[in-house]
Amino acid sequence: MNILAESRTLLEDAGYTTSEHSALVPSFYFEDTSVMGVLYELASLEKLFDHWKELQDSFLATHAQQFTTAPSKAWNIYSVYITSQVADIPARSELMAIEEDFQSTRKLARAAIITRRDLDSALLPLLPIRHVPSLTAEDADEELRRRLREIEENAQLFAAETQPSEIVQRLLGDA
Amino acid sequence: MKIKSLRFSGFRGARETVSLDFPPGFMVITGRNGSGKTTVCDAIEFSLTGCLRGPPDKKEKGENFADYVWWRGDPKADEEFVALTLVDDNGTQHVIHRTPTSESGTEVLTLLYDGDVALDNPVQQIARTLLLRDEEITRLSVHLKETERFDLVRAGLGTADFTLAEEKSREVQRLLKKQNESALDEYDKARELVARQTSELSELRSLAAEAQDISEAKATIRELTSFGEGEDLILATKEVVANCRYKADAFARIFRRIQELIDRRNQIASEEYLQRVKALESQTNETRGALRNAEAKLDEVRDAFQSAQDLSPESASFAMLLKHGEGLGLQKGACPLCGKRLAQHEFESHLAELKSLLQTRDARIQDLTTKVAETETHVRSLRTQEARLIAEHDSLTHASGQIEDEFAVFQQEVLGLGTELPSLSEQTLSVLRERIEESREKASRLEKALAALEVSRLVDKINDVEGGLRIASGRVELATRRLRKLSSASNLTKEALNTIRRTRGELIERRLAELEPLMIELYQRLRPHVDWHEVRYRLRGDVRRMLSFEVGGGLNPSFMFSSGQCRAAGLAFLLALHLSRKWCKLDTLVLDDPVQHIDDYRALQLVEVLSAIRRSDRQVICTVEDRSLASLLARRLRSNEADSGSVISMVYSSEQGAHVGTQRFVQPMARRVLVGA
Repeated sequence: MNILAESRTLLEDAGYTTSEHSALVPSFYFEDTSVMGVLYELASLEKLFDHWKELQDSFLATHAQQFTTAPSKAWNIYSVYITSQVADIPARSELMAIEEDFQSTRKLARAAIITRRDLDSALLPLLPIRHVPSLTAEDADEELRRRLREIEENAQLFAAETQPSEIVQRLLGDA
Repeated sequence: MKIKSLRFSGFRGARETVSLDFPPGFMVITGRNGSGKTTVCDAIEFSLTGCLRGPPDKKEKGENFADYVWWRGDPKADEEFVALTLVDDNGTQHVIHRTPTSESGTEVLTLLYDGDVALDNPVQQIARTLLLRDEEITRLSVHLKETERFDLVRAGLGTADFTLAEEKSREVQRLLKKQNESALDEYDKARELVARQTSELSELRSLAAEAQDISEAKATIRELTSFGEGEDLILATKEVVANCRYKADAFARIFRRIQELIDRRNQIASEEYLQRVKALESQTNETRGALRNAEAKLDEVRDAFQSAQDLSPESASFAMLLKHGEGLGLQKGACPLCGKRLAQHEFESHLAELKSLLQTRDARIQDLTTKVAETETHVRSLRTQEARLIAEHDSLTHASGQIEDEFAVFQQEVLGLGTELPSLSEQTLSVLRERIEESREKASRLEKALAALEVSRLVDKINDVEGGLRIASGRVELATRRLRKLSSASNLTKEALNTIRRTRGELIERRLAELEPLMIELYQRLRPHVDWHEVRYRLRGDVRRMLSFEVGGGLNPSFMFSSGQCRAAGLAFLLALHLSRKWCKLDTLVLDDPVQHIDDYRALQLVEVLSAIRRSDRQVICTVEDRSLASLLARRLRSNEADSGSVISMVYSSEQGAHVGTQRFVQPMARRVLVGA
């Protein structure tokens, strides 16, 4: 999977505008009405751990002037670091530590991004609700009547307007 | 539909009127503890439902939470009301106005509830899924009982619950049970009747088997009586039998008496008897002779006595004279009585002689008196003896006649019984013996015939009992059939009830399957746990449904997670419910201090989730205590020209109670800063 390309598509589909970012590490910018940031694809966890802060600081320094024009939005800057390498337990903790560092930007540091689904999960904080339930229309009463009919024709009376006393008469053949 | 504005006065912590205008995007409400943030949420809930969810079942000094809905401080509030204004997509405003005693304005259900979806208490469901309260986030999610969680999800999703069908099934079950009890009772009674009549029939048949032929019995009766058809043969024959028995007894008694008469007559004809008669005649004659002598003697004695009695007055005169003469004594030598001249000694001799004469006379009278009495006694004795002898003689001599007389009486009696007695003889006894035998035999034969006729009645009785048995057996069959039908109906109802529950469960399962990706997504977004990135739900139970959560391959988060992690997981669950309720027309989410016990990292995740929710044009109202978090929310909840947001701070003063301190509208951010600027 081309992580960068897929990520751009994903964010653009979510309403972000993206743009190329010339850097040593494959990356791109993204922005919408309230959030902006940069996404880096790192070749390995090692590179991620070694360079994330450097990349963040460089990004902020590069665009410091722009950020001063929008001080409120500047609070909403994201730095996203993604690698396809799978993280072991210590590495996962280290990634979490990066995310829990609130200095400068909101950081997303994710490993084992191999599939589109992994990417989707990694970028969730930036995306709208992905799985808004589109509850299918159902005719519950008809479904129930059908199930009851399978027991016996008279059983569907339980799902009809028939009164209990009348149902009893019908079931007993008194009606 | 969104919340447009809220006004309330004298409500909860607000004494004076609080007025809030909600932007269509979001409102962040901040403030210290007790500043009135929750009062705003309470006012929204109260407007919609007319009540508040307080601490469950908590009661102190006879008061509970409901007693504190309205301002209780001092001074009293000038007004007490809550007014919520909603605005629909067309811009039309709807006001819900409540006071402690009234409700007016728009009907909440009509306004907010899509009635096509069946829900239990939809207004409560609206409030419960609209407003997520701090204290309820874990209680209504992770820590909820499995069955209650299932019900909450079912209600939240608006899936048909078939309450009516289930209640109907239960009522039918109750009615069937009642009928079954009645049918069982009828069945038992019918069985008991069958058993009783079978026993009776068996007994009657045994009796009938012992009886003779009925036609023969009737022939016997006709032979022995004059009864024809149409009569009550049994009754009439019983009378005849009684008559025969009476005759047999009477003949037997007369037989014995006649036997006695014959014996007596034989006795009269005996030598001994005749000698006795003669002896009596002789004794009678002797007695008569003795009696005549005694009577002659008595006459004699009586005559002598009479004679002696006749001399009695003379003797008395002599006695007086004697006494007088003795008194006078000789008078000049002459007897004073006779004048005769006497010597003294002669005179005295004369007196002595007179005295002796008088004494002799008295002794004789005395003697005669005794003799008369003795003779009279003797005469009476002889007369009695004579009478007795005559009577005895007469008795002996008249006995034969008496026997004839008595025989005549028996003849009359026997004639009354329809028989003639020829004479007092052995022949008569023979006749009587025949009659006795005849009567007894007739009675016996009639009795047998009667018994046979009684059997004919037995046959009728058997027929009756057989008919009754057939009816009773029919009743048993009917009752059995009824019980079979009831059993079948009961099974069907039970199966229907299970089907209703299963169908409901399956529908909710389908709904849950549709909801699961959203739940997982929200869980992933909130990241309660560093390793377990996914939560799964698990449904258990066929009829009684239970919904549980699982993380990390079957672990229960309610026992694994810290309170902060539980809260994050619970928020994922409740937000998923909120977002999936298509039946509610109100596009507003209210969160009352959702970040307590949540660390900064997860608070940030929540803010991002709310930001994502805001992307779908949903109105978000959120109270938080922390000002920086409030600022973060204001920046991330995406205020724009169409859906702006604001931040207000609530403050509390003793005079006003809770009131709005400041309100700041959040300006939309610059569109292009980094890309394409």
